Amino acid sequence: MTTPGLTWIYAVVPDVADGLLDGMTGVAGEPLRALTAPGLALVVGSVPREDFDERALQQHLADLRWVETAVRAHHRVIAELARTRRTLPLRFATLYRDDRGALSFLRGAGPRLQAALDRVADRDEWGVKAYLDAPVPDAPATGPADPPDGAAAADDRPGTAYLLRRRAQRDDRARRFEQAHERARQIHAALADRADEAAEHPLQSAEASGRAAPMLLNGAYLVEHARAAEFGAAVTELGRRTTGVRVELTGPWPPYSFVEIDAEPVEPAEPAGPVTGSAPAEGG
Amino acid sequence: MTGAGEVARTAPYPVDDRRIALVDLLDRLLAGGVVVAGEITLGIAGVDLVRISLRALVASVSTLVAETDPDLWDPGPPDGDLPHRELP
Repeated sequence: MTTPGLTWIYAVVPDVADGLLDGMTGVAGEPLRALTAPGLALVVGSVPREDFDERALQQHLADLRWVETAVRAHHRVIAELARTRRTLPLRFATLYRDDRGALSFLRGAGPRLQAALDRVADRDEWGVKAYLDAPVPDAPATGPADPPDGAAAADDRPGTAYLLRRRAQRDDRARRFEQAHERARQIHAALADRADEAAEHPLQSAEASGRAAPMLLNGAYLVEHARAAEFGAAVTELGRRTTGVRVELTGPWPPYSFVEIDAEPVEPAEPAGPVTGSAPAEGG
Repeated sequence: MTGAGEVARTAPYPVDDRRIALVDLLDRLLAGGVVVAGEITLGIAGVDLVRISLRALVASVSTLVAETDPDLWDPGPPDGDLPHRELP
């Protein structure tokens, strides 16, 4: 029985009993299946080769609409699983040529996957982002700095005064930023104390976040279910009493940022199955 | 999301919630998750490609947002404050 498509892998869960996958679909709208090993199930879907082989994937990646749809679909599967199961999300866009490759991964990594599943049991990831919350700097000049265009004879040296004011503003802004940055470090430390594990993602640029305010912290925290309310309250409280910093909570997330598994024992690259040469038929 | 204080263990995951900011998802899905040697993976180059296209798209999105789906790019400001989302 050959599977016509490639095998996209979503997540590892302990089991898929009770019709867990019924009705669920993946990145290509495909129904989901499970490949199993003792105590583990790898949730997979078959996606069309022509849309997901290396070349097509590279092309799709330049199309953010495509990426967004696929990323949300991958996340939807994982989030749905995580509602009822310990769940290890797999990195977006990990594919095997067929089920055999995926299965050999599952079998080979079994104990390490078990250990990672245990680490995230009864825990969620929470995201905390902090932004500089600065009052909008006042207009560049108070006073008659807005020369009515035309005959605004620059009598004294309004230019110099203007520049001085600008520099003072810039210095002030830099100082506020510095302070806010320091406070964000303290927020991260306080939250890390209340979490089992903490991680930081790169700060999002203003373009990516869609916010004018600079980001100061992009943290992720692995928190026990039993302590989630406490953690949330701590976030609220830190946000309230930290001036100049705006704090936001996101989540709960499946434990994306906390699922590193131990390195694979090195073995010579061994084809996981008969990888037949790619068929030359291409639509162009 | 509602207030931070009322987080409970029954809190549903934000499944299929378009209000989840795409950047937050990308942080986690492209940099997180179990990394295995699949036969096809994005690799660094692929991730960079996404970042580049994200930048390009976000740069042009201020007009787009107005025209199409107002929620799509909404970074989801919690609790009432006005979103500051003017892009320069």
